[in-house]
Amino acid sequence: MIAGVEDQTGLDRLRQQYERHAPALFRLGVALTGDRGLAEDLVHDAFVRLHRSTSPPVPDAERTYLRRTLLNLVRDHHRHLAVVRRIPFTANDEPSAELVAGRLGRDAAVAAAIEALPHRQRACVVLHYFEDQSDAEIAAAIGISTGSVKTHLHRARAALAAQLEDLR
Amino acid sequence: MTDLDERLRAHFDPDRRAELPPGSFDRLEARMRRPAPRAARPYVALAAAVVLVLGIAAIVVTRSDGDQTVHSTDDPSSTVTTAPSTPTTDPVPVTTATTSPLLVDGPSVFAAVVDPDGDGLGDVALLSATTGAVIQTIYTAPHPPSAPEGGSTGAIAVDVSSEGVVYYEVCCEPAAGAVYGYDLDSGEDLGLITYGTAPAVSADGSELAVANTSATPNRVEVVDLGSGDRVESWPLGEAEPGASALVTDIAWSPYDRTVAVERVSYSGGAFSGVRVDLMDVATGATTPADTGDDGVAMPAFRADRTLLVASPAQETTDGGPIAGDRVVIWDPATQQVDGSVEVDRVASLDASSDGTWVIAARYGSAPYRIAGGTGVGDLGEVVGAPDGVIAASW
Repeated sequence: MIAGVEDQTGLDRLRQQYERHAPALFRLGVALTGDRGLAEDLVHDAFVRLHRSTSPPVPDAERTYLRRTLLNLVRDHHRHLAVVRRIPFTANDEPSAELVAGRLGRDAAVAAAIEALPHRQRACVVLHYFEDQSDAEIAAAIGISTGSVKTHLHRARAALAAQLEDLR
Repeated sequence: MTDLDERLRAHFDPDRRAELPPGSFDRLEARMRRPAPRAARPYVALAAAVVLVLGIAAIVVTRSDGDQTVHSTDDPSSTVTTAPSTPTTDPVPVTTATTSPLLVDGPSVFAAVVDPDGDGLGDVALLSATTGAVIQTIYTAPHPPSAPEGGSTGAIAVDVSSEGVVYYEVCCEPAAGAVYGYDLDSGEDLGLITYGTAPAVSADGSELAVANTSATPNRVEVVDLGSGDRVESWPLGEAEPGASALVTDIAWSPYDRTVAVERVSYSGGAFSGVRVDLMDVATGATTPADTGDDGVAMPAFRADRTLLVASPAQETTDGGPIAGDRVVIWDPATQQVDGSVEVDRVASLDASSDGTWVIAARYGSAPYRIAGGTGVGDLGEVVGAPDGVIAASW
């Protein structure tokens, strides 16, 4: 059992944290993955890690901790998929970007183009276009320099423009 | 604002309205209250359930002189000699296997990434080649020993040195691939060895090759295990025109500083191919392992300097890499195919240093069958467990 939820006090604290942070985290997860089920799983993972942490963040830093953790989990997920799809016990039934896009009412071409981006470019695109964050805020969220954010966004826009032009 | 900007902002509009599904917190609470798998659930029953569902099996395929081709038939039962075996416990799914030189009791023990607790995260264990039973657990996901807080998504690769040190890659904390070590003799956890993916230890145990998948293109890097220094770092050329490529497996030859590198290519975000190249890590020079098939994967060196690969490698139904229909013996000296064995779908392949043992894990619902015409009579011994690991030597 995870420390901190055995008693009612711990459970109440977890519930408060969840109600405060999980909705926005979930929306970010959906934007990053295009998959609501996966996004919920990753949000749960982030909360599990928060409660497993031997040095948990102070309350004011919980949002930052959870967002950073979620971004890392999405990164891990995409990288892991590239390798683990061949592992028997994790037979993958993930739908295509087009299917997900259709299910969510999204533009399939844009969804596929974003899905094809390297993780950091994709994260920068989501944080910029979905959350309207500044380059500095994106840099802080991902843990890279502001200059790197500009570079990732520039490359991502170039790649997206090229791919979407090809699909016209 | 450009058209592209507008299109991207509009793309995310539905996500801004996304709401957590009902009962989300209850599911989190249930998950956090769930007992730890090993502490609360009988291992054997769980492993059996996993095997029942997934039907994992493994095979052994080829002979050491490398000149024989064995073809499967629809009804192999009349020609296959399978020694009866009595598993002491149920086998577990094998994901990534490496056989000898980890020979504890003859060619019967190998290290593998497995999932006996069924949590979807790879653990590392020593398995019996005859029963598939776990002999010793090296690492249990998610937390790597000595790792910073952050957890992981489990082990995805493993290799074992001639000195009995297990090197295993844990994905992906604290970095995109971290390799940990465990000394079988002393039982000592060696902690974080280096960052990188797809670890492969040299025959003398002094060096470890890893892939740097953060680099574009990916690089093959060699770490001196004595000093910890990164002594080689070579970029890989383009795997496929216009495609991005990810190193997914490395094998180190038993006789020199040659490594075989598997790369999966993606084009437009979709699987577009897989190939194997040999690299001399002293110079960075590469040679493609060209079997004539469209897709080669899962390299494993044999003691006679030939290379085993799964071929043709292809996209699996889930959209990822890769499953071979044959195990091919490819000779780097002549760049010719020396022989092949038809199999079902290979998920992992490795050969022992003495060249006589090959284990290929595969998946599917039907029990694996070894079959064939001319080669069957030469089979020495086939041992195995139903739906588990089957191994043969001759």
